[in-house]
Amino acid sequence: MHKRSYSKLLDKVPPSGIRKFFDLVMGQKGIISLGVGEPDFMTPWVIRERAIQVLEKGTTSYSSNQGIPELCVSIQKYMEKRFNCSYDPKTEMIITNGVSEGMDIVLRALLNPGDDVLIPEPSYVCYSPLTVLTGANVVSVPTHDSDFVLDANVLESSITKNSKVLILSSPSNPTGRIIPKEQLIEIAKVVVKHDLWVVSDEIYAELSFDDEYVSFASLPGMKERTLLLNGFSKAWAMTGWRLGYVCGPQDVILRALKIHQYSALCAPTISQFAGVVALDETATEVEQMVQSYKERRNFMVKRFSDIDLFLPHPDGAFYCFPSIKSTGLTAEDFALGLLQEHNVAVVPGTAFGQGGDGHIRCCYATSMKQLEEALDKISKFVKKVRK
Amino acid sequence: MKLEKQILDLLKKDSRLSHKEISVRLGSNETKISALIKKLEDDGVIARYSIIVNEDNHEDGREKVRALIEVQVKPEGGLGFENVAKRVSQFPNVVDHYLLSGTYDFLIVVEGDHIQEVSSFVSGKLSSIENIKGTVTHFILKKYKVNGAILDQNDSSSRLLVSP
Repeated sequence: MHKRSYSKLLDKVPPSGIRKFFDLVMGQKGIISLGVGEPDFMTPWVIRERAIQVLEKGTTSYSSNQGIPELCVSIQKYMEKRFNCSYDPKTEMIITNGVSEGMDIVLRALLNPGDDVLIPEPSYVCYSPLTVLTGANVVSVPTHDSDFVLDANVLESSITKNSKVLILSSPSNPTGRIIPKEQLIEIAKVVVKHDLWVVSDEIYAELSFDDEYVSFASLPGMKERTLLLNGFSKAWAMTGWRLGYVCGPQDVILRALKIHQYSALCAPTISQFAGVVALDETATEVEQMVQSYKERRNFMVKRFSDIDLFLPHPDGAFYCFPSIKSTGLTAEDFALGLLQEHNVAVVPGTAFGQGGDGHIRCCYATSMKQLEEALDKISKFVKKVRK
Repeated sequence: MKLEKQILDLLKKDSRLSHKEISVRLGSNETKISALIKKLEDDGVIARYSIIVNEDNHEDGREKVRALIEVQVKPEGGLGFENVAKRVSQFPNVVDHYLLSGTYDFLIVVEGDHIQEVSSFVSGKLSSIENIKGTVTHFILKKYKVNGAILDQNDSSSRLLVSP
């Protein structure tokens, strides 16, 4: 037997910071968790009912690689009506196994070893590893000095001669921040000037609480350069259904489809049929869920202000990312102390890249009762460590 | 969504919320919320604050009996159903009372301590009202959902405690 060796690229991917914390939390009982990254609602009933019908009827075979035509048409209509983005359902989209797969196949379709990918940090956990696996390099773009909203000037100063792709994520996991339209326009100028592709992760777009959401692809001239990723996990509470989509220029879509057809074949057919109902029939349910997140967001803003921890305004998603620097603790020590002394789980900001140090991610997609209890405990903990 | 509607949605789910809590959740101020709630009460939009009881889980409540009763009424000239409706609504046993379209006219919900109480209410009181032509009584065997609240829901959340 020859000497074992493994993927060298994979060895460049560090172990997950979330995983480490997960193991700690699982060892303890009676936890109040603000550490989850998914909704606390069940998938709306009409969507589940459709899936049951599909199962009863036995429509359980593969779909075409691209996805079922009905869903592509529903996505076309939804994108046009909701975000003013127009895509051809036959040639400009792929239904994927969630946004994560979308991110993977798009990066693989665009990148060569040696290319640079600009990633505003802190960022969602998959961007950097999926970039590394293509052989491309990660170039972190700090957002800390602009309260975690990507600044076009900082972006410009981070550009290298090999810069090829910019990953945007707004609303952001972990910060809950949304890049406002004026700033997106400035970013678009940098994108044109340096001839970049943009991969825009808009999975939390529906969860925008204060202003009308602006999709990056809807800006003039950006559709041709943007791969737009979206899906059903968050606004429709469908995380386990694994359903998302990529929209973009035909030449990239064709290439990404090549990867998708070999590595995934198709997104789950049952989920795809249910997805049609989600887009066509559940506007009221989505509106109610968004309202409920917004109420909890308001509660979090008030409580962190009372505790006197600086909180960059959480415009969307269901996360807030308060600074715990005033306590003198690192993010990891704060999260660990809070867990051990008060049984409250939050995720240290460092799990989302070095740009997240000094902050913790608190997910408020949990009951008001639990939030109240958790914030009381955070308040106690902060008072104690500040002494 | 209008602020009044948002307030009502919150109170419908939890009528014990304080004005302060409501103001925090809606990102408004307490004085404004209190004024709006007072107006909703004065205008009769908020008729009263109540609770939803799942009698199946409550020993004393378990013995109470409820029935839905279809009532056929002969409308009176000039008055329609109003005169009869007023008389029916007055009985303390009548919990809810609706005028419906379709094959019968009133649907009333009647509550009593036992089956006999409901039966004697129907035969002795309801049926003897002038212009009531007939009744059909359906006893409620089990409640699954009341005023939008699913009773006896097992909250079996299977979310991971920490996830990206």
